[in-house]
Amino acid sequence: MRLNSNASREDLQEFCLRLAKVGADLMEIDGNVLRRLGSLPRDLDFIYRINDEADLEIFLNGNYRYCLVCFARYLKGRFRNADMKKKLVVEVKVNSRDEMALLMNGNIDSGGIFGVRLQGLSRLLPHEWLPYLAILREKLRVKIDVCPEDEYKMATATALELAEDINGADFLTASFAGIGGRTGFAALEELLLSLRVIKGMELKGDTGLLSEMGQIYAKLTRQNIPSAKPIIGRDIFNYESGIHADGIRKNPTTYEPYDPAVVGQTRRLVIGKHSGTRALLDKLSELGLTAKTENLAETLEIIREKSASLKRALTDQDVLEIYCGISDRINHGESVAQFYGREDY
Amino acid sequence: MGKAWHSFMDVRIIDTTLRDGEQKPGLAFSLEEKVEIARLLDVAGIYQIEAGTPAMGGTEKKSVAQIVGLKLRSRISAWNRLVIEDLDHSIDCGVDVIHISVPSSDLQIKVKINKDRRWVLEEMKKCIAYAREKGFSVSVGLEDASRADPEFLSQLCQEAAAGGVNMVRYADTVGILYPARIYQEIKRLREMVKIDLGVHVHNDFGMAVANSLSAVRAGARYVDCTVGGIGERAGNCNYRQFMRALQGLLPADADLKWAAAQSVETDILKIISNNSLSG
Repeated sequence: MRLNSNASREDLQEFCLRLAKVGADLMEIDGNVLRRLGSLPRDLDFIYRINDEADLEIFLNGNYRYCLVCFARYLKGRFRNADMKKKLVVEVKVNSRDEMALLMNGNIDSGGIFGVRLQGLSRLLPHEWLPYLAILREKLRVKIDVCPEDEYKMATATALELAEDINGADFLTASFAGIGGRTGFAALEELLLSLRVIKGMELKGDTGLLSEMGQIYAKLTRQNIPSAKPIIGRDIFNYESGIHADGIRKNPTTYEPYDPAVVGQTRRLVIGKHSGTRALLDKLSELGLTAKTENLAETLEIIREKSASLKRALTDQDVLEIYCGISDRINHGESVAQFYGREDY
Repeated sequence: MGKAWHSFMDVRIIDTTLRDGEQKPGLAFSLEEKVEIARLLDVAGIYQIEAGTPAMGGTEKKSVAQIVGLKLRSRISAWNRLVIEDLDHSIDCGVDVIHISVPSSDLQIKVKINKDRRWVLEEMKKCIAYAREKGFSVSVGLEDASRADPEFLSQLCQEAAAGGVNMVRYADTVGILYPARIYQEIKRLREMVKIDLGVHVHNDFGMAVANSLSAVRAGARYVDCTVGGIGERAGNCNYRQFMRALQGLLPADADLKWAAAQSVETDILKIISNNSLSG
């Protein structure tokens, strides 16, 4: 992740700690990250990326769980020591069936290494990669780490499909908000929630911290999270349309895949062009009013027209002004009618 | 080109920017904007434009009628609940396709509308017959299909096909599908019923594009998209991302010819971004 140059060491360390708390088992770092962090937080294990000889020395003198090296460097590097190989993960780019076939036909001397990371995995449908993993594991006798790239917006789906129990990957690599690389990676928050909600897995971490992590991330990178970003977008639990508002009122699961609190968010009723009577009643109640049924239809019509003309949802103040304006007019009309003894005034 | 890729070349996009896309909370296109977006979608060569929900009345209904009046090459469809009065509003507008949304999960049927499966089946048949008798093409949307009983889905599809419906749309209303599963679902329905299938997915877990592609591989012919991926919650399948992925997975010599659509899509995005997205 490209850090804001003013990002403080404390914020960085805080972000790392949150990674551990939401359920990440390992964090990948390199020399640059190490310099920014200063010291490594506890409660998290690290995989250290070796880019040059200096990195190799840092790894050998440090206390990292694993190290990661690209295939080209593995071929020419100093990685023959048996103890080191037990911690070594070799990264191989695989984006097509042909590249997978090359790997399976043994162009990598995997003797003694801990694992192979398959990076890319973007040019087949997600579930089409699964049959290869078991074959690869058998042939190479290594752990398999998958790191899908998001070239065609399938990275999260690919990571999820390859999380299959028996024949799936041993490690899934993702990044917060999917950031990084040339085209991005599987988004950590999407993957965690998919595993929990869709696959029903019990996860050790607290996904309720994800929303807060998004805010720290925005501070660290000076990049706002898009408001509709899955899982951590600010507006994803807003609702407005009449049918949705009615459904959510009766039972939120009619239109929500999971409770907002699961990711540290809350739902918010928005009043606008698509609002229905029920939503309006709920909003007025939220604002402390007991609405009269006879005032609602006209209020709703004005709300819809005003929302379309302003090209936005209405604020609570807007809604109050419209409703109270109509109520006052009708009440005035009733008062005048009573005064003159006429009901059709 | 192998058989596996033919389904990718035959995909028909149904754009629902003006319906499900505009349901993104806080978004409110003016009548003029809706008409302009429809015109641009037509220039982009979109197969079908889901123009809105005429039953909402007011500006919404007027905009659908005006879009129909443009006499575009794109087919124009309108979204309806299982309510005859809804269909009447769409009929008033003179759309090409009447789309009827049918709650298909027990959660939607029992909790949302307080009915039972038999009621849903009967109403669906009634609504299909009503629209067909008036000479309209009809499509049916299986709302919340990803949480519905597969047997009931099959029953709905079979009845829809028997009623003369042109297409059944499988809707992953809360975005909980994943590629292997949607592949199996679509394949199963295709084996059971001879009817064109479409998919309408949401991006709650970031898998809308992957799910749509997988559905096409399984034989779905129609894919719902929105420009910018706008829609409820985390949105719908993003048109540009979907088309890019479709093209990227095809062999190098296969051309979806969507280059012209890309600049048009940019123009539509400008209209969308002119709308403030929160109150």
